[in-house]
Amino acid sequence: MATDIDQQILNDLRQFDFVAQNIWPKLRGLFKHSIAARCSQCVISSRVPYVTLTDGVCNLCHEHNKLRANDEETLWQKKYVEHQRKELDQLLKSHQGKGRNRYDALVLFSGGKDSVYMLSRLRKEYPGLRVLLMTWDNGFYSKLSLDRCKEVAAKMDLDHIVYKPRSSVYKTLYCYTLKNVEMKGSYQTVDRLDGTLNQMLGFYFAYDMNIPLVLAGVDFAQELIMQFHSYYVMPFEDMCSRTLTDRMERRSGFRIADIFTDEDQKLFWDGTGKDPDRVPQYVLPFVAWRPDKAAILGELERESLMPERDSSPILTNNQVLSIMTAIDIKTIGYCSFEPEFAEMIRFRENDPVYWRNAFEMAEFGARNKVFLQRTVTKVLGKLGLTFQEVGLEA
Amino acid sequence: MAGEVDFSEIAWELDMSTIFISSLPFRADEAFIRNLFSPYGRVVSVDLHADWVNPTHEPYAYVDLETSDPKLAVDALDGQKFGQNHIRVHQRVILPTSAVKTV
Repeated sequence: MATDIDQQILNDLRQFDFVAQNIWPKLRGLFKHSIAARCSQCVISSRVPYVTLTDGVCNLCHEHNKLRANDEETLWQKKYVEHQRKELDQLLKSHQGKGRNRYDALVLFSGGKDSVYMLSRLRKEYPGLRVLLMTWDNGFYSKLSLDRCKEVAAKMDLDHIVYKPRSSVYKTLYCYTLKNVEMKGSYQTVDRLDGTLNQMLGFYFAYDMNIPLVLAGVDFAQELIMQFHSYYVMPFEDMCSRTLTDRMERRSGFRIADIFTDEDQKLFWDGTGKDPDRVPQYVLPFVAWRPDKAAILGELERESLMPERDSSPILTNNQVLSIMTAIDIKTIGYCSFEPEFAEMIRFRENDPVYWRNAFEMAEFGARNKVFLQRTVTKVLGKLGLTFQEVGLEA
Repeated sequence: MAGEVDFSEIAWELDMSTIFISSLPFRADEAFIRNLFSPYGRVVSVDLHADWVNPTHEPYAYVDLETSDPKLAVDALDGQKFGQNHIRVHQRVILPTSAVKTV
């Protein structure tokens, strides 16, 4: 049964997480010649083409450290973020109870720690904001996250919908993109289409329901999903045009017309020809709030919203991530998610040791077909794909 | 329904000569923007909105570019990283005015 497979996959990932954090640190010295050297600050792999290590520190961290030392720019950034916080505060306050129908905001709710933190903060600081939570269940999301979404929604007594798109849409997306990752890495290809489509389903839902705001707990360092670093709200021009879909196609190298039926292509947001008064504003509070990891974990603990053992993105993320990692290691030599996580370590002080262990073990596991292989086999089975079809060896 | 506007029937205008650029790197000025676009056509004007001392809005600019294919510049420049930011570049979209809605 599908649910049994999902539980087995979750169990596999728990084992992976446990071994990575408890056993791998004791073994890693033995295998240091068979895995890539990493930056001692942000843990990015030296196999990333634009990364060079000097005295164990990468060029990106050297640049970052220089930026921090630049008083003029740092001061401007500080003022800019303060300005954004005030504007965001005004925006959210002004929408409390002002939605045209039953809701003021649609919250894209994945059940990961960032989205739970965002929701907790919204409830405290904007109690008059009438929110509807929306979670996707495309058949490949973590069972743990889906359960967490339902628990948190019940605990906060909020309206919550779990949206299950027809299974062919995401299966088509994953099958096509996994077969065509090539040298771009899965982050720019599979994950870009997946993440973008998730957001766009939210836009359509908000448009149809006449909900003026769509909020997502996307970190400001997640350039891929946000498509930019510096705005807490998506420029309205982007929302009223095909710009977001165009950008996704340009950066992934895929055209949705080559992948999807005419009907399924309509799921990708095109604001052209839509009533601008109904087009939602897409708001990313983390860009203005910029909470660090300690603030997030502190809030989750205070409110008893998520046990720390369940907060690892390895457990709460998409199951297809295991295949993406295996393909990346085979084709480009590093996990293509590493630059984003390294950025989050640099900017948000995420735990570098945790991610060093996870990325090293993923690399070691993919090269030697251990740890990850069981999960990859199961997820490929769910997609009806073979190892050969995605360029892997059984 | 009577009185309702079918927005899909209203032409959304894509301004072919004006390009919108945002997520600008710190201290980006007119010369930076002109240099960026000059390989793709003649830069007629740059309308920069940025305060690099006391920010009161997101820094952005409109660029009038004389070129037969502005999409070339958009495809080449959108997402390029300068300083901390990946710049955002697209053709200016002109939304229907509210007057249109009273049809």
